[in-house]
Amino acid sequence: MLRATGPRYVSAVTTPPAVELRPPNTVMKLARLGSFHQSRLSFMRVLLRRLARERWTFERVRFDIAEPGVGVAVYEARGPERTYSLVAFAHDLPADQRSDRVIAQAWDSTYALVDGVADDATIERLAANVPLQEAGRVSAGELTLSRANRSVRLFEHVVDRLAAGEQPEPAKLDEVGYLMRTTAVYGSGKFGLADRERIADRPELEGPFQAEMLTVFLIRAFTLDLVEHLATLRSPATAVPMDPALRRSLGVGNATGLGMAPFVINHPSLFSNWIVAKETALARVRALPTAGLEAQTRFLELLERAQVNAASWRSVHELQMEKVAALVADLDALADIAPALIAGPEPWDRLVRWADDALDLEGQEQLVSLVLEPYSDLVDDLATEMGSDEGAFFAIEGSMTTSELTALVADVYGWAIGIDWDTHHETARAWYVSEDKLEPRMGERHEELIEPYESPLAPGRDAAKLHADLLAWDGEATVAAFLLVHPEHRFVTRRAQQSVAFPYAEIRDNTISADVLPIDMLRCKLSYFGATRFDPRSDRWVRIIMFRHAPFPDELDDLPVDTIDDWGYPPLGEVGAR
Amino acid sequence: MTALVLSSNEIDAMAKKAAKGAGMPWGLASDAGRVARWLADHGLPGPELLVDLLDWRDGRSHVEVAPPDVGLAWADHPLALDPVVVGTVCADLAGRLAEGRVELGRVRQPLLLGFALSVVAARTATALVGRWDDSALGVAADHATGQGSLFATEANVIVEPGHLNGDRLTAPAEGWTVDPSAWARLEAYAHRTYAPDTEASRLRGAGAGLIDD
Repeated sequence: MLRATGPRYVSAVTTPPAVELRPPNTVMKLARLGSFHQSRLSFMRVLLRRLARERWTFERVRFDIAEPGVGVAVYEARGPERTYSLVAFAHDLPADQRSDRVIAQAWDSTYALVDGVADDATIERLAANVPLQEAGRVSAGELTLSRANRSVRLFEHVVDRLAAGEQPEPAKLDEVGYLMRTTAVYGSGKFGLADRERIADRPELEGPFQAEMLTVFLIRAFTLDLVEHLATLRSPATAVPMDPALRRSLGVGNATGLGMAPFVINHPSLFSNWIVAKETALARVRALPTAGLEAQTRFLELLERAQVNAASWRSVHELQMEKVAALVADLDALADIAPALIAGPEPWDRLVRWADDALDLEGQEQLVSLVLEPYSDLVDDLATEMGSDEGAFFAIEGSMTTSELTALVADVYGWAIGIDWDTHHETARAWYVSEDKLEPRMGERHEELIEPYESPLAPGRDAAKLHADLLAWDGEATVAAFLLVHPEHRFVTRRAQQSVAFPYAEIRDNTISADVLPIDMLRCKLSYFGATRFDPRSDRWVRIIMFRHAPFPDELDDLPVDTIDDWGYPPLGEVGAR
Repeated sequence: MTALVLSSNEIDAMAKKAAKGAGMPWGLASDAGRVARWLADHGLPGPELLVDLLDWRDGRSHVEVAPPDVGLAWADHPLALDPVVVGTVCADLAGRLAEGRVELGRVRQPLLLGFALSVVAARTATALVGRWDDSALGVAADHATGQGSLFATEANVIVEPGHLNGDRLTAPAEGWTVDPSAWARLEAYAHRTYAPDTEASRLRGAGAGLIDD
């Protein structure tokens, strides 16, 4: 079934789909990006599939933690070619210093992922720096730097119960979902860490954020080991380990603020490759003439589990509560219609087209993730296309004529050229970096003195200005000549030209209007990480859970490889299910 | 004070912000970030040379320090030219440099042209040699070589296709050890891009400051 809507974009993959990709003007809207769900292509799932496939082994080589939870632990992850070590420092943090803000200065635990085996000298060096986080220095021998705080309400409950020889209350575990939440996981050369270019040619790290995801995966193991250890210290005679099924239900929390939102604008070719991979996967599945019985069964099982997930998805944010309520209704409607539809011809394409009309964006995008699930053979290879050698796409084609550039800008930014950028509503916000700990923020352009410090995160407005100036220019002149006179347009010209090879590079929405919700950008990025339980606390910061229901490092070896990846949706019968 | 060893990413990010703070628009400042990074990646003092350039450029207008046209022959220009701007014209019009010799005229800190030559080499698969005073910088798609001191505050620069059999310019094993005073000067320029802190912006700008639950 071919759809005749929109231009056809050729992706980098070798087998072109027979169904066209959804066009950028449809996909790259903030409201839709802000409704994305984790999928087979999410980086956490990509990581665990590799760890299982390559038979990585894990060992807790050191665990020197004393009450009240102070000391150091080291976890080694050994792959076919290399070893990576998580060095974890546990601290005694006074309660009044526990803050999720990036401007915090102390944490319950701090971490570095060492490139190789961490010897005593390395651990000693890290002990003097890692607990300081941004105020310390790490080296090219480390890949990530991170920290996490306890969920006070759950952590204490679990230690108490285990120490008393009892299991924690499942309802409490479900309510929070994690023992600790990270408030930053730094990589890519920050604070002296190894540059991405140093490690990008290693198969296990060539995909996006694989070192960061490995870090979080090991942090999760540490948090569970820590509660059990503290319970034993508290009451050696009575303490018990946690029930494996309850352990599984815990992930690692994460609190993410505005700092993450600019990423998807600042990395256009990379971002486009993420989108293209998932859209290509969708197109491949939609192109299937029929669905086998096994695929149908798998889809319906995961749909039911997605309903469990939606039913237990809580948020204190009004908008998100509305979205979740709509999702619950959407999934009910989907469950009614799906069994019959997917037994017929062109099952997935028909289902997606039905959803386009019948469901809200949350439901539509949940369906996109779900239809990929039965088809590892059509989808999983696309994970290798999701990185980008960003430096290679930096150059500007200066010999292009300005009339060619004008046409290109009109094509990519047509939506922006139609906006009246003279109104306060459309330019209400400005992104900036504060001098206080260099925290990224968004403010009110027309009320605060921030415009002179504005970060370049409004490509649409910039493109509209570029377009206006181009119209006043001789169309036969070169872009190089134009940019020499108009260096202020160099930034968005580079983006416009990148959009030729990377059609999904640009968010096709106003990122500075009075209506913008930065959490939409966070949701999009976090869905590609593989996060669940997206829980906005305002329009600009969120909490999520990572690796919830995933196997632990020491379980990877015991499970068949093809079941390792079955954790994206909660198991049936989980607490909170209706 | 312990030596400050920087990742390439840190150099790029700081140089970009500093260049913006010194008056370059963001797109040009992005080039400046690459310029500093490329030199450090080849064992040369990128952050140090860039901050010298920013000091010289500070307070001057773009028009004063930019080439008057895209002719790639600016010998008559009254003032030395900004190598970041000159570099963008060279890189944007890569094919012209690959075709034959150009005499760019007088350029401030000509070593800062290295990144632009690397872009030309990569885009056109043509090795280039930049020459000034008694120095020569050879840049091919996958490596760079040098002859002479390479350093000059201002010099007339010629670029032509060809290979240079000079000393191989390679990355330091652990990262670039920066001159702390140069780095502090870059930070001072970068600081100009940060909005002064106010209580209102702290509360409103980043979201709620919830302690814990």
